[in-house]
This record gives sequence, structure tokens and C-alpha cells, in this order.
Amino acid sequence: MNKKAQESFTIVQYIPRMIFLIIVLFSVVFLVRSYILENLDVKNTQAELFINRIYYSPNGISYYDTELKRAIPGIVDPKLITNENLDALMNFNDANFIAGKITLFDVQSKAIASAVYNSQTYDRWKPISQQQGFTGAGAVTRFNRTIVVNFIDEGKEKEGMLKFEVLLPGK
Amino acid sequence: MIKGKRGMSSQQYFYVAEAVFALFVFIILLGYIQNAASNSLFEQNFMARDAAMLTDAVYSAPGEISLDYDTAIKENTNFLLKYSLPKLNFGISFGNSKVEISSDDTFRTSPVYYLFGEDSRTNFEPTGQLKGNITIAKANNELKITEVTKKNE
Repeated sequence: MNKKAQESFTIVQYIPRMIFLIIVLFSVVFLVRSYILENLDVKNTQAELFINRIYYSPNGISYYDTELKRAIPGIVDPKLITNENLDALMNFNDANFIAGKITLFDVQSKAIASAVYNSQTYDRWKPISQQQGFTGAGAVTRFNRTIVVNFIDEGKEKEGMLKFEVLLPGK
Repeated sequence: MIKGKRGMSSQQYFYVAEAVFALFVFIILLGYIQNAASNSLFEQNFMARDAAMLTDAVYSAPGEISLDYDTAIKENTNFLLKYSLPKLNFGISFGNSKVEISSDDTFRTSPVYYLFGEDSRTNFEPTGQLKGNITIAKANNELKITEVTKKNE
């Protein structure tokens, strides 16, 4: 190979070398970039807060002592478990923010009272939440929680269970 | 030796050009990372969610409650990446079931916000823009959010 050909060969040899170098540099930078946190997923906390609002709030479903001026968690008044009461308790001004259902059962697992928050959205999201494998913005995440409570029935306290089902958009 | 006819070679120039090119590309890409890392949008989103869920938590308290919340974010310096996030003071406002965070960032045209659930049976007056320490208090069927004036900075 004469000298001119050697020079040309060297130049041609550097082209794939440069391309490989650029690929490596971009890979390093994007690897670092991937560790920068941008998304904030607060669905778990939002679901817990939703349940706590209904269960602990003075305007929720717990028995309210007018002398102490506070709610007594653990004692539930079934008359307060209504759609209207839940909708008045929380107004997010956005129908696609959150939806949920609560059901009060007695010890024989018989439903005593039931109410739905944001019923139109709940009816729309419920079948989606039951499907496996859906991901992305159009999916629905479901949270369940069961609390053992006492409820007031004809002036007497009876044992029961409160089941919460919370639906949030996205997965 | 390099300038002599026998030692003359263009190989060194290729090495130098390669190093300069790699350095140029790397500096540009590091500048992109620094821009992404020093953006305060993440902090604004975090604070909007934090304040909104704190308001929900106050609503869910069984009785009377008062909570202090500091909206200032302390300076954060990372010596490895050589960037610093200066002390940030966002403006925060509550109203219409929204917590809105506003900053001096001129590139943003609309404030960052997150939703909280207003209780229709609890009195609540929307606030203006608040800064620094704020107090979220619930008493006598009323929710009040006020700015606390600091005596000593």
C-alpha cells in the first residue's frame, strides 16, 4: 500500500470509530439522565388519604360526639353512609381525579349499608380496574382496605367490617 | 523529529481531533443534564402535591388541629456535579380545590397545581399568594390557611 492509500485508509478507518465514540458518549449521558427523578407517583398516599377522610373526618361516616366536638373513629353510623354525604365531604372539582365505594358488613358478611363517591366515574372505571395487564394513562389502579368497626344499629353497638375500594387513574 | 520527513505523520492530528470532538460533545451533553437537574419544576410539583395532601389530612382530622408548613426549600449543593439549587421561595395559593405554586421562572406561563377535596360543610376562604411559613388550622367547622410572619430570618 503506498503512502496516499495509507492516509486514505486511516481517514476511512476513523469514520466508524467516531460513530462508535458518539454512541458511547450518548449512552453514558442518557444513563446518568435516567437517574434524575421527574415523576411523582402519589397514588398510594392519595388512596390512603381518601379512606382517612371518609373514616376519620367529623363530617364523614364516624359517630360525631357533639359534647366533645370530635368524631369517634371505630364507631360508624350507617345512616351517614350515603352517596350524597360522600360527595358533599370531598369536592375535587374534577370528575376524573378519584372514585370509591364503601360497604359496611356485619359479622355474618351481610351488607348493612353501601355508598359510592363519584358514582358516574366509578361505574366507568370499575370494569377497567378489573382487567389485568392494562398500563398507562388510560388504566385504573384499585386499592382495597378493610377495617373492623362497631356500628350503631337501633341504639346498640354491633361489630362489623368496613370495606373501602378506591379507584385512581393511571398505572 | 515530527517535522522531519521521516517522522512526518498525520496520525497525531487525528488523535487530537478525536479528543477535541469527544470533549466538545461531552460538554454539550453534560450541560443538558445540568439544565435538567437544576430545573425547579420537580420541586414545584412536589410542593403542590405535598401541600394538597396536607390539606386533605387536616380535613380528615377527627377534631381541631393546627399545622405549620414551611414552603421554603433550602439550598442544595452537590460537589460532584458542581451545580447548586439556590434557596427557593415559591408562592403558594389555596382555592377552588386547587393548590397552585408560582415561581419567578419566566419560562412557565401557567402555575403548577394539584387538587385537594374541599368539604362543603366546612367554611373555607380562598387565600391569595402566600410565602414562607404557613399555618393550616381547622377549628369550629372552619378551615383557615394563613401566612406566618417570621420575626427573625
